[in-house]
Amino acid sequence: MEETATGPQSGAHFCPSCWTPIDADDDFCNKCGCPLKGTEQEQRNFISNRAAKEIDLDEAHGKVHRAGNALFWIGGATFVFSLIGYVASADEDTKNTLLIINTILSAINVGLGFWARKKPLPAIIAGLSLFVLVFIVNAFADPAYIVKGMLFKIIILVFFITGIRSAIEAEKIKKELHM
Amino acid sequence: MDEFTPIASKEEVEDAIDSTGPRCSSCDAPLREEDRFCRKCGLVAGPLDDAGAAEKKWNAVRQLILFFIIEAIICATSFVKALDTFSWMVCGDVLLALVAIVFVALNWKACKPLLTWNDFSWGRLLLYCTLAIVASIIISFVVDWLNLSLFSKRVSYHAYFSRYNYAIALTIFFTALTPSLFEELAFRVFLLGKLLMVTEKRPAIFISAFMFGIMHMSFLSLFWLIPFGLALAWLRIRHRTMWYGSCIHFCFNFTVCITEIWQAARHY
Repeated sequence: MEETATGPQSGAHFCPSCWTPIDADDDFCNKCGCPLKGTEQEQRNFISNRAAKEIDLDEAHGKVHRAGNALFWIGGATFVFSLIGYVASADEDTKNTLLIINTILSAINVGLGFWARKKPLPAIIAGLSLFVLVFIVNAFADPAYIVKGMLFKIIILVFFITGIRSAIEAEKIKKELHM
Repeated sequence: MDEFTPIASKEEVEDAIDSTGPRCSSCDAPLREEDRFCRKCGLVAGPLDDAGAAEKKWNAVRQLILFFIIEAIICATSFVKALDTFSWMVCGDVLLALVAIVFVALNWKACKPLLTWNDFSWGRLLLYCTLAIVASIIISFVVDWLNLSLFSKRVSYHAYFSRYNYAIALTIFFTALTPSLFEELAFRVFLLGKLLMVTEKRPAIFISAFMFGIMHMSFLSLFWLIPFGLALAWLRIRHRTMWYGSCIHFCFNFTVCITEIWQAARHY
């Protein structure tokens, strides 16, 4: 049987995985679930498994962060293209209305981007719904819109979908690790 | 002095304390407040997450996306000039109603309790409907004023139906009655229910209101549609029924119809 790590004070025991003080008669660590009475191999497996899950969690957080950033990219791109459209258009009435609409759209996306820092999953779902709606409306109004900037749209869509998937995955890993 | 005789042994006292505290849902060992994992079996302390919760969430998101895309496509047909006809408008409304019914039917077990009205109260209904009517009158005049000031035009549902027979009945049917039933069914019963599976209560309320707002595809209306959606979503969660929201939605839209009919009668 593997002994638990012993601390600087005599008689004090620490979890070999998370170094939390533990009681001598505990079978498992109450902070990380490490099998304190397990074999050395079991404890090694536990520690490496936990480390792998933490790496997965970091990766998931990275994808979620990227999806959150996609909202800023959409906001920025919408604003820049609306400015270009404003300068290029000759129709006074239409160009003013479009500028106002695109500025509001841009602001909503940026707002959702900031919200994604605190609540990533709902913010990304809201951002995706707005992105899909704008795409569908524009596609119906002007079918050429479907192919305009297609690569950018596909990349954003992939970021959103992987972001949602990863946010759900991150929640699952956090529950498993009890973080 | 008599020797002190304890009433219960140390083990019995500890057992008594243990029996009142939380216990591991897997091995029934007593848990301390700070325990994240059970000290005896090593499983997560507290209620265990049900198996496949992440997969259920992902399925809910997929259904949400599919539902939203179908709704958006039907609504976006209004931007196609060739489809700007009365027949297509009726088709669109029928399709939206069918989409709502199909998605609710696919999630019947979760949606069924929301179709009941267990805590019905006349006083509460009257209060909510009065508030809806007052809000509708204020918003109608503000939006009308904004439309005239910004775009020099008046947007009227009644004007759209005025060229047909039974214009008032058609306006009320398509503007007040069908949205109050099928929008509630779609956004508050199905969509909000799915969102509550994916995220917490507050973000779910916000996203459902946001989706409800943007689906109307009117930027000017967004400023009152989102608060309206928030109120309806909050009421649906608070009372666990769609019917208060449905009545409020009807009163709100019905007042808009009456205001428009009254304005039309005043101008002509």
